Amino acid sequence: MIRFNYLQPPHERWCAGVPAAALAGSLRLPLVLIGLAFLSIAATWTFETHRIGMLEDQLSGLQSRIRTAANDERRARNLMTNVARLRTIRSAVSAAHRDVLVATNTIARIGNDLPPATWLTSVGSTSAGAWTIGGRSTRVEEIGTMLRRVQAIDQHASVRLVSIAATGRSGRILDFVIGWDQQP
Amino acid sequence: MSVDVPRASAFAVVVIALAGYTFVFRPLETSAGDLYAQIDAARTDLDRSTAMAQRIPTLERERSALATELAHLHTGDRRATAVDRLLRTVAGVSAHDGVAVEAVTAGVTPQLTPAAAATPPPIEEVPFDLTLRGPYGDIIRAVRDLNDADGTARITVTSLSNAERRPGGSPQLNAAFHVLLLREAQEPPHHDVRPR
Repeated sequence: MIRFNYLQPPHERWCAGVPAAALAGSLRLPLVLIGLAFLSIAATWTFETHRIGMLEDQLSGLQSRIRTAANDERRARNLMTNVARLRTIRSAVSAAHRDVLVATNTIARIGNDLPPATWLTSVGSTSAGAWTIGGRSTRVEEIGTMLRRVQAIDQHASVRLVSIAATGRSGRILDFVIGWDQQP
Repeated sequence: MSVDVPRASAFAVVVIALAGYTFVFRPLETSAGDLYAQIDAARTDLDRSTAMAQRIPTLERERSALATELAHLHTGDRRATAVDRLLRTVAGVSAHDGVAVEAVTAGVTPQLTPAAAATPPPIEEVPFDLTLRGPYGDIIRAVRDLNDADGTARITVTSLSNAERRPGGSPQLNAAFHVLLLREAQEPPHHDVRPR
């Protein structure tokens, strides 16, 4: 006895209903084009997803290397700060030594360049680099010579005569004051 | 009603392509673009970090050289040690150059303003007023010797004036100096860069 299965599976039913050979010739090309369109979208999705996955892996690797390098960078930055600080200290120390030499040289030159019959009574300075030189002389022209010689010590300074006043019983001794300002 | 199959299918293909571009290609391409930008930024960061790390040996050498150089100048001494060194130097110079120490007076350390206290300078200045008495040449030599001593100080001449001459003695000067002892200010703790 032959038994018939009338309950066909869906794909058999679909094939049975629409066999490929039965498709109209005019429908084949459109269906192929639509299929290709879907296929290209699927290919694009696959390609892009794969590319994004690779990029994410690459980014993850870079971030891991950055975390490792960050410690070295922090250490280098601390070292740079430290070195800058030590350089500042060294500069300040060098400047201090240089300033003392300049000051003592200036005083020595003022003393050495005294014209005849002229002597110093006071030398004062301010932190701004201004000097006041007080002295005595027996001749007014020697005070002029003194002024010129003090100016010759530093051409950039502004040297000026502040005062000349006769002193002593006979008025033969002249007290003078010379001002010396550093030009800005 | 008849359907124009070629036109309908072309329309369907265009719609599918547009939908694919809008909902698949464009969002994924945007994500990829963002990732490229992040990767570029990460590479820049990494290059910078690597370049900085490559400077570590040079910086270590320079720091070591500077520290050695400053150690000879005793800038790292504590305040009391620095003052002790100054006093010993002054005494030595006085004996060596034949000048008398008339006075040593501690000055007042200027208080830092709140703004300056936030970033304190790396150098602390400890002020003193020093008065020496002696002949002109000896005074000059004494100041130069003080400058050459192993401590570090900024010495400025405040005044030179004739001192009262002793009977039969050579002309003497009273020389007043303002001395700023220079020492390294307390190093902030975060500057400790010794490798652990």
